[in-house]
Parts: sequence; structure tokens; C-alpha cells
Amino acid sequence: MFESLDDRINNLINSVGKDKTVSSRKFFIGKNDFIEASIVFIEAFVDKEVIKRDILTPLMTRFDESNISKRDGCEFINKKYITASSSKVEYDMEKTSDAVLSGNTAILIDGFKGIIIVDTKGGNFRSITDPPNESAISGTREGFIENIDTNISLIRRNIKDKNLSVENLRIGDRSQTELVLVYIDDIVDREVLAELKSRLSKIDVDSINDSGILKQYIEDSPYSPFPQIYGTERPDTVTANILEGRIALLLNRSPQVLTVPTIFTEFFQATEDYNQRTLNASFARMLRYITIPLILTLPSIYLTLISYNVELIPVKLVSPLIESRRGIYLNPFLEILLMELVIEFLREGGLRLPPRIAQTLSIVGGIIIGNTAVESKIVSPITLLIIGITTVATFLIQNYEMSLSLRLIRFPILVLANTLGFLGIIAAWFIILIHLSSLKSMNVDYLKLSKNDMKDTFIRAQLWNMTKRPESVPNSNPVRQMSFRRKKNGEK
Amino acid sequence: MEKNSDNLLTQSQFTFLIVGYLLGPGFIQLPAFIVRASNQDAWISAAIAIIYPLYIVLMSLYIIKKYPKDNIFSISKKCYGKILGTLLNILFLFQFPMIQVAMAADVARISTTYIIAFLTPIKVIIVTLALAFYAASKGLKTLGKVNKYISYMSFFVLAFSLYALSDGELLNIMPVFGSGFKKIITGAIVTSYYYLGYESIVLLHTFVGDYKKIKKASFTALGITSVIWIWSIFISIYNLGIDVIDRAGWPFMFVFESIHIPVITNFLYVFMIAWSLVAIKSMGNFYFATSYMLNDISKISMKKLMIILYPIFLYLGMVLLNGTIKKNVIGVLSPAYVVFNTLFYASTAIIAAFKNKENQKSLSNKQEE
Repeated sequence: MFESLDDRINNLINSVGKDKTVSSRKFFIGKNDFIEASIVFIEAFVDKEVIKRDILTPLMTRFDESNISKRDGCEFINKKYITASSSKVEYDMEKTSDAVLSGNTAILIDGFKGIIIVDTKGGNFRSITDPPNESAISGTREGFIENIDTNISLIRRNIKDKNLSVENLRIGDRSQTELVLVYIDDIVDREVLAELKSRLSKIDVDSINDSGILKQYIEDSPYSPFPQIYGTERPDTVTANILEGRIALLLNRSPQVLTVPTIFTEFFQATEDYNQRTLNASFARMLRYITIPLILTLPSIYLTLISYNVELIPVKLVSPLIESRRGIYLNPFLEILLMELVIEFLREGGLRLPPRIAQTLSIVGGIIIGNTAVESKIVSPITLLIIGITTVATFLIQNYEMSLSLRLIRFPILVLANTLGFLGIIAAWFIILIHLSSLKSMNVDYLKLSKNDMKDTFIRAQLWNMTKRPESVPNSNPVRQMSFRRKKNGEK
Repeated sequence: MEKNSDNLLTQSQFTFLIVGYLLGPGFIQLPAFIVRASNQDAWISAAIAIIYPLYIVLMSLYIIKKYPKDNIFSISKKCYGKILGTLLNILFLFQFPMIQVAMAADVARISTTYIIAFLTPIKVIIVTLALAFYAASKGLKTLGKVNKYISYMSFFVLAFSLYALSDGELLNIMPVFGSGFKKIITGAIVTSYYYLGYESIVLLHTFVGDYKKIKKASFTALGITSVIWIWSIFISIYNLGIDVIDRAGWPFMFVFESIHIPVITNFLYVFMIAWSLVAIKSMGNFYFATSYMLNDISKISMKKLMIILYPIFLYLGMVLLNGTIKKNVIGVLSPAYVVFNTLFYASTAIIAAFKNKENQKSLSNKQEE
């Protein structure tokens, strides 16, 4: 005996959720005998046009019950009448409710045990646009959006390889957020994949709303200042990372896609590096690497020079320096610290301001504060110059998280330099080097400068010469391509 | 390709780790000591003295070949029995903290003289030992990587000493062999006291595992360090002349003072920063080795040992800040250890050879039975 249609509808609605967003609509199908049927869906998740066109119209107008007795009920109806591109028959209530929660529509027909699930996903999403935080001079204008299916398709379009694996998971007991792992089966390193899956399986939380939260649940060292999982909104970057043997993590409702394992040098590579010619790209790369010591230690070196090692300042610079510092109220340490803090206020303050007010902030911050600070003898112009250079240097690190980390590390280095002079700076560099060398991402070394990877670290060698995938990212298929141009020349 | 589960050292990491054990702060003061013994031919003495590390490397490789899965601690227990073996191990062990403490004192003295005059040497020892502790606590793999990176950086800075060639005088090294055979040999013996550190090969080879890699790494490290030792002595004599070297505490540093690069007022400071990093990472290496060996003997965890060792190193470092005490202590212990190591390695190698033969005989007897 089957349950009645009403009971089944109620069961399904109860398992989806007791709120009023779940809709159901009853209707009759059949030419002579009116068979009662119902669709269950969540209004905000579906495209109603698809329901009308591919479910209601064929079932209500063309359904002929005389064929049914001969065939296998729901399967036959699904194959014969449902005109949607993706549909299946489900017998399990839990899976059905999951499907409804994902934007599918369930069709229940009186007297039939199965439930037809039709893909009617829809709703309003942001269109695919250039990601505003990661814009590039050259390269695609596409950016990930909040819809996971669209995001998968953006990657799929770039990699048509048959070995591309897309694994579906769900995270968050209550949010039931869809998480998708994308990797290439014959390139990915099995140990990394197993480690990632084991970390994901241990997550026991109510909900995950953003990939930034997911990152914190699975990273190796939560107390490290350095970001250990790379996140981007650019499909081209994710594609390149997957092709190097990494695994992409796409979380529904989050436009930022994570890739693991992550290595330190990854944060200093930009999309343009590969789209531009070798010399230009290498120059840009080198500039970015020069900024790391600048950001971290320029204010500290300046502090040490004017506080402890004045003998190291070039003779011609000494008198302008003394001139500029005459009558300055604050001591060098407080002066630098104050200006650094003001810059951080401006940065943090400008972050969430509407663009028009942000303009005012930059005028007030840059021009008024800068000018008056010097004129009122709070800071010396040279200090301001040093802080200015350091701030500009941080803009070269295109990854916001890494640039934030470097800004943060500056402060303890400044304190060390103030207490220990050059020894403090040496100590800071030593600690950073040790820390980076011991850091791991998915048990893979975070900093590993191997000889082969030098082609794509401080410089960007010719693309056809990068015959192997990076050694620092474990993979099971190290050969990427042949050095085809060299081969051609050799044949000549 | 290196997999993530692979925690063994790579060949290059092992190479630079050995280099790290060898190239501590010593090489900036070495020219002074040898020049006193063999005048302008000090660099020849340094070249001849390589016989000692070569001997240690060859013996180490022989012993490792016989016992590929044991470090020197278990090897000596196997060769000499438990009691004598442990006793010898303890004797062997003490050279590592000895060098470590001497380094700490050297770093403190030199850096307070040149770059951080406003700090007291004790404060410098507290900081540098803490840094060495931090490095050692991260394990050998991290040390291997850090040794590699810092070595590359220091080679880059050392390369600037080539500039001093343009400033020197060929007459300074003339006449070659002029100081006489006896003085050159005396100089060579003095130099060999500074070549302590290759002993780390038999201690840490189990972290590499592959004999071929160990062999290559050991010889490469020997090559690199020998070139740097001889070069530092040669260029110091060439650039400064033996009279200046004799009066200078750390002559190799003066070579860098002669380098003039625009904007950088004094290149010596650039060298000092690089050199401090080299010295601190070497201290980290010795810190690790000491706690690793003590862990083998006492079975106390390495982390705890490192914490226990810190105040001891600090105290000893402070004691050795006194130049006279340091000269007396290290001046006696270094030659003693050169003799001890020579004999220890020789006897271990001989016993290992015999033991192996016996083992093979008993194996073949068993097979015949």
C-alpha cells in the first residue's frame, strides 16, 4: 500500500523545512482518468519558466495514462513527458529533499512510488564580470560568482580534459552548503587529496558561509601570520593551478575559490605574468620580490640608522636629515609608529567606504594629515617619505591577504629594531625565514625553492621552456609539455 | 620528486647543513691565527689542513657504508660495547656544545664591537641563543632548508670580496713557501682545529638515508668549505698584508671595509648582517645536534632538552665572553678533540671492518651448515 499523495507531500515539505518558502502545487494529469500530481519546490531557487515549460505543460496537456500500465511508472513518465534537460527518478526521501533544497523540483504522482526530480535551478545571480579586487590588464574578464554551478562551468570551459574530476560534498550540519572539489585525476597527488578530504570530513559546524571561513577550518597553522590557502575570484588562475596539480575548492554562495596546496611564491605571481612577454613579466616579478624586504624592513632600517647607527648614513645625507629632524617632538620610533598607524587607519577606513566618500578620505588622509603632520613638527618629511614608499610597495603585492600579512609583520619588526637595532632586524629576518621554512600547507612545504621551479619564481622564463609542473606542488604527472620551440630550432 | 610525506633531507639540504656546521663565525678570525703561525703562507697551510676534514669525511663514509642505518651513537655501542661506547659517545658529544658556546660568545663580541655597540654582549647572547633555540626546535628538515637559503645569500655577499683583489698587493703573499716547511705545517695543524664540524656527517646521515647522496653531499660540502676557508685567508693576506692581520682580531672583515659601493657607506655592515645570519643558523645546527645526542643518551624529549640547555649555554657563553678564558679553554679543547676524533674514527672504522668480516663469516658458516 502506498501512502496518500497528501501524506507524501507533507513528508517531503517537512523534511525540506518547516518554513513557508517551500511551495507545492497540485494538478491533474491524464486524458480520461484524472490522476492527481503535485510539484514541490522552493520558490526563490527555481526558474518558474522552466517548471511551466518542461513540467506542467507536457504533463497537463499531453499525458496519456493508457501507456502507463504497460511500462515502468515514473521512469516512463520521466522519459516520455519531462522535457527538461536534466531529470531523474528518486525513491529516497532524504535525497529528494536535498535536491529540492538545491533548486530542483520534485514531482509526486498519486499511485506512483518514485519521485521525479527535475533540474529547475534558477533565481537571480550576479552576472559574470571582471572581479573588482583582482582586475588584470590582460586576460579574461571573467570572475567567479555566487552560484556554484556557474563557477564549475567556468572551470569546465577552460579544461575539457576527460580526467577533470568534480566531487560533490556538503559541509555544515544546518547550512548543508555544497562544496565541490575540482582536480585532474591523473595529475593530482593522492596524498594531498586524501589529506584534504580527511580535514574536510572533520569539519563539524552548523554552517559555512564563505570560503574564507572554510580556509580557517582546514589550514595547517592558525597562528601563522601568513595565508596558507590561496583564494582567488579569477577562473584563469584556478585553471592554471588545477593544471599544476592543485585541488580547487568551490563553496556555494562564495565567489572566492580556494586552491590547495598553497606555496609562498604563488602569492607573487599574477595573471599578466603569463600573458605578457617574458622580459616584461620577469621585470614585474622582480619588482614584486624587491618590495618584500622593503615593506618589512625599510621603516625599521631607517629607525636603526637614525637612532643607533648614524655613522652609516651617507655624509651628504646627514645634514638634510638633521635639518629635517630639528624640532621634531616625537622620538623616531613613536614617529614611525604613529605614521604607520595613520596609514593603517586610512587603509582600513577606506576599505568599506562608498567610492565618493573614499575620495574625501584620501584627500583628508593623504594631503591634509600628511602636510599638517610635517608642518606641526610631529613627523619629519623624510619619515613621511619612507612610510610613503613602504605603503606604495604594499600595493605591488596583488594578493590582499598576503599584503595584509606583510603589513602586520612590519610592526613587531619595528619594535625589535627599536630595542635591538640591527640585531633586531637580523633576528626578524631569521625568524621569518625559519617560520616560512617550517610552514606547511596540506603537509606540503610552504617555502621550497627548487632549481627547476626557478623558471617561474623570481623571473618568468619563456613559456615553452616550462616543460615540467612545479616541483613544489606534489603531483603524479610531472611533465607538462615539450620544449617545442627549441625542438623546432634544433631540427632546422 | 619530493612527496609531502617525505621528511628526509635532500642532497642539497644535507650539503648545506654540513657547510653550516663548518662555516660559523670562525672564518673571519681564522686568518689572524694562522698568519701568526705561518706568515704569508697561511693560505697554503689552510689548504694542507684540509687533510683532516678529508680524513674525517672518508672515515665517516666508510663507517656509514658498514652501518648504513645507524648513527655514530649506536655504531659506537655496537663496536665498543654499551659502557665504553656510551662513554666515548659522551666525549664525542661535548665538542658540539663547545663549538656552540664559543660561537655564541664570538657573535656577541664581534657584533657589539661593530654593529650594535649600544647593546651589552650578554643581551646579544640571550637573543642569538633564543634564535638558535627557535631554529633547532623546528627540526632538522627546516634547518636543512634554512642552511641552504642562508648559504646562498652568504655566497652572494662573499662574492663581493673578489672586489678586494683590485685593492691588494701581490707582494703581500710573496715569497710563496718563504716561511718554511715547518711553519707551514704548524699553521696547518692550527687550522685543523677550526675544521671541526664534519663530525656531523656520521651523526645525521640517517636523516638522508641514501649512501650515494651522503657521499656526494659530503664531498660537495668539503669542496665549498675548503674554497671559502682558503679564499678568506688568501684574500685577507693579499688585501691587508700579514702585519695588519697579526694585529687584527677579525681580519677578514677588513677586506669588506675596502669595498666601496655608492649609497652603501660601509659594505662591512652588509657583510656583518649576512655573517650574523650565518652564525646564528650555525648555532641552531649545533643546538640541534647537542640536544639530539643528549636525547639519545638520556631519553628526555628533545624539546625539553633544548629548554634545559638554554640557561647552560647562556651561562657558558657569558663565561667565554672573557677572551682569555675562551682562548685557554678552546685552545686546549679544540686540539684535544682533533686528536680524539682522529683516533675515535680510526678505531671505529677498524672495529667496524673486523665486525663486518666476522658477521659475514658467521653468516657463511650458517649457510654452510
